[in-house]
Amino acid sequence: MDAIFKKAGLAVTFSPTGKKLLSEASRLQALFGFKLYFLHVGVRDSTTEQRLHHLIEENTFSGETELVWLSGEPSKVIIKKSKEIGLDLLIIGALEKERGIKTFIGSVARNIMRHCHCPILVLTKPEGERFGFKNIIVSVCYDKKGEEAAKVALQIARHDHPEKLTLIKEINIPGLPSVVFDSGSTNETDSMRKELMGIEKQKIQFFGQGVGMEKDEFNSEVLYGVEGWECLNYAQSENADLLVVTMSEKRLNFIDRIFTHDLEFLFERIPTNTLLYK
Amino acid sequence: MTHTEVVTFLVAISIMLFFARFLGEMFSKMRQPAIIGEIIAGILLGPTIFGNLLPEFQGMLFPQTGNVSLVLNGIVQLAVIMLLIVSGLEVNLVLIAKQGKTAVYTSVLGVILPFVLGFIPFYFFSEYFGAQHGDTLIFALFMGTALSISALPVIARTLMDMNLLKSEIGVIIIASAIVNDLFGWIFFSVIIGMITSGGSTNFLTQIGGIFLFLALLYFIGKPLSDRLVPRLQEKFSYPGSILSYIFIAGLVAAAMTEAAGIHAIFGAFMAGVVIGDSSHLKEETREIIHQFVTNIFAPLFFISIGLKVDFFAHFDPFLTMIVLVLGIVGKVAGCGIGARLGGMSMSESIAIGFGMNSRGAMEIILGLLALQAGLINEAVFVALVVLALATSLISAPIMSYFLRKVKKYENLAEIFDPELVIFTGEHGREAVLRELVAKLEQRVAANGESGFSTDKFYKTMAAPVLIPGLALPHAKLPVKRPWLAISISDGGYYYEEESEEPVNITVLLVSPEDKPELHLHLLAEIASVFAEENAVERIKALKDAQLIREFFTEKL
Repeated sequence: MDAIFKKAGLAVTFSPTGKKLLSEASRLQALFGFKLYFLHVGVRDSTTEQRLHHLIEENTFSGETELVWLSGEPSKVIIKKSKEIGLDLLIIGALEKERGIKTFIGSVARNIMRHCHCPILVLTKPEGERFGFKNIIVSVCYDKKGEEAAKVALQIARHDHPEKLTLIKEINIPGLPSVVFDSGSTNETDSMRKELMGIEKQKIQFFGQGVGMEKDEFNSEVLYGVEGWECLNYAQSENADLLVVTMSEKRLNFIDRIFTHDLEFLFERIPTNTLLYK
Repeated sequence: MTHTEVVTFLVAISIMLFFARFLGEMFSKMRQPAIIGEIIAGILLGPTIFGNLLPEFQGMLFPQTGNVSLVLNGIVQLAVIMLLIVSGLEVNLVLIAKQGKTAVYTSVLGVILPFVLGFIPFYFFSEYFGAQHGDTLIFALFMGTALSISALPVIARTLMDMNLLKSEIGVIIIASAIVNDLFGWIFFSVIIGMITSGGSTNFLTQIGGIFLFLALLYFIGKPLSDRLVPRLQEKFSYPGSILSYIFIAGLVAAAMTEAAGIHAIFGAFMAGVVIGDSSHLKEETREIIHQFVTNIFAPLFFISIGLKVDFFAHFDPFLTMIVLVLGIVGKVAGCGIGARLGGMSMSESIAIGFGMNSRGAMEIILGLLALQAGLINEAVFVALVVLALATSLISAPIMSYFLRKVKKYENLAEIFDPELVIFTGEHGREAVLRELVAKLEQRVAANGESGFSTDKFYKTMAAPVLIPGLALPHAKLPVKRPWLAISISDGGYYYEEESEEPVNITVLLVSPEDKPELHLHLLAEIASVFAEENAVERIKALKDAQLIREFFTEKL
C-alpha cells in the first residue's frame, strides 16, 4: 500500500500524557513511515530545550524527525504551522471530557479538530507502551474521503490485528414518526426502518469489500438515530480504543454549534482515541 | 356536574371517539388522510346534519352551553395543546441547516408568497370577508399566516406511500414543511397576542416576550431537558415517565406563555421543539406519543370542529373559492419557484409545490383558535377547513403524477432496462462478460453517452460473487446515470477456476463515479433481490425480460 501519511506532526507538551503521546507517535511512524515534526508551543530557552530533547530522546524513532518551536495561542499556531509544513496527519492529546463552557469557547484540542486542514489523531488514552489498537470502529462515510479513512483504518488493523474491526453507519428517516400521526399505527414505520437498515447493512458490506477488506475481516453495524450521537455512544458502549470518523468538506459554523449535530457531538465529548479524517 | 350531566358527558365522548375513529379508519383504508374522516364524522354528528334532522336529540347529547359543553371544550383545548407538543417534537432544526439552499428557498418563498397573497386582498377588502375584530391589519395578518401553513403528517404519509421519505426530494419537502410550521406558529402567536393585548400597539412587547421566552427555553430549558430525558428513559418506568414528562413540560410551557400574553399553543409547540431536539429522545418514544395523541386526542379535536359549526349554513362558495385559489396558487407557486431557484427540475419543483400544499391539521387548529378569539367568523373558518381538506386530498395524487415524470435513476426499478437482458448461449466467463459488456457499450452509446467503454470497464471492474449461481461484476465510471445489464446462462460457467458452483446469472452494474453511495445502494438492492429463496433458479425459469424486470422490482 502507498504511504498514506508522509508528514505527520505531534503536539508535544510536558503534560503527564506527553510521554505516552511520544511513544505512540513513534509506533505510528514505524507503521506509516512518515517524517515526524515535533510541534512545541512555548518560549525557547535552554532549560526548556533540554527538557524537550530529553523527553523526545526517551523514545526511538525509526524515521526522520524535526523539532519546531512555536509561540502564540496554541491552537492557532499549531493549525497555521501544520498548513505551512503541509502535514497530512496531526497527532494531539486531549482529555476525555472537557468541562467548562463547552458550546461557545472551544479548548485547544477542539479548535484544532474543527479548523485544522489535515487528518487529526486525538489520543485520549495513549497507553505509553508499544501497544496496538484492539477495538477499532469506523464510522462509514460513503464518499472518497470516507473510503480513504476506511483504508487507513484497514492499514492500522492489518498491522495491529485488533480483536474487532467494525464498520458502522448511522441512519435516520426524518419525518417518519409523523407518519404514525396519520395512521395511528407503528407497524408501517417499523417495517420501513427494518427494510432500510437491511439495505444499509448490505451497503456497508459492499463498502468494506470495496476498500479492500476481506469478508471475515470486519463486522458491520447499522445504528438508527441522531447522526454523530449514536456513533459516539456505540464507541463508548463497545469500549472502542480507536474511532475513525470522516469530516466532510463543509466548514463548521456557528449554526452547527447552536444546534449540535454530527461532529459537534464528538468535539464536545471525545469518547476515545479518535482519528478525524478530512 | 349533576349525575345526568356526567352520564351525558361520558356518552358524548364515547360517541365522538367512536365515530371519529371509525370514519378515520375508513379513510385510512382508502389511503386517504384519516383527519378527513374525523372531520366528516363531526359534520355528520354536528348541527350540519344530525342537528338539522333531530335538533333536540342532538342538543341534548352535545349541548352548546352548560357544564357538559364546558368540560368538552376543556378536553378540546387540551387536545390542541397535545397536538402542538407533538408537532413541535418533529421540528428538526439540524435537518434544515443541513439541507442547504433548496430547503431554505422552498420554505421561505413557500411562506412569503402565500402570506402576501393572503394578506393583500384580506387587508383591502376585510369588511367584505367578515373581519370580526375590527382591526383589519390583524385580520389580514392572520389570513396570510393561515394560507402559508403546511402540515407535516399528511406530507410525511404521502412521501412514505411513494417510498420517497428517504430520497433527496423527500428530505427537502420535510425540512421545508418544518420551517413552515415554525414560522406559522410564531406568526400566529404574535397575532393572537396582539388581540389579547388589545391591538397592534403592543407589537414590540409581544415580540420581546417571544424572544425572552425563546432565550429562557434555550439557555435554561434545553440543558435541563437534555439532562432529564436520558435519566427518565433509563432509570424510571418506560415509556410512562418520559411521556408524563413531555406532557407536563408542554403544559407548563403553555401556561407560561399564556400567562405572558402569548398564546398557550406557542409554549406547547416550543416545549415540543426543545424536547424533540434532544439526541437522547428515542424514536420509539416519539412514536408512542404520536400514537397516544393520534388515537385519542386528535380524533376528539377534529370531530369537535364539526360539532361546533354548521358547515352548510356558513358555507360561502365565493369566499371558499377565493381562499382555495389564493391558498393553492400561493403555496404551489411559492414553494415551486423556491425549489426551482434551489436547483430542482421543473417537474420536481411542481411536485414539491403540491407536496407542501397539504394543510391538514395545522390549518384547522389555526382556524379554530382564530374563531375562538373572535378574529374570524364561521364563514371564513369553514372556508379554511375546506382548504385544509381539499389540499390534503389533492396533494398526494398530483405530487405522484409529477414525480413519475422525474426519472432520477436512484433505484433498481428505474434503471432496469429489459433491452439489456441477454439469454446467452456462451459458456466461458470471458465470453459471457464480453457479450454483456459489448451490449451495454452499444446501449450506452445509443443513449448519447461516452463515459462507458469495454476497456474502462475491465480496468475498474470489481467482482464479488454474492451467492452460488450469481456473479456481480461492477464498476464506477464517468457515466451520467447507472446502467444494469443481465446475462442468463442456462448451462452456467465457472467464474473462477477454483469455483465450486457454476454461475447462471451475471449482473453487471455500472454507476457514475461521482455517486459512490448510489453505487452501494444499487448493489445492496441487487443483493436483496437475490436474498430471496432460490432466486437464481426462479429468474432462470422466467425466460422473459419483462418478467425478470417484474421479479427484480417487486422484491423491492
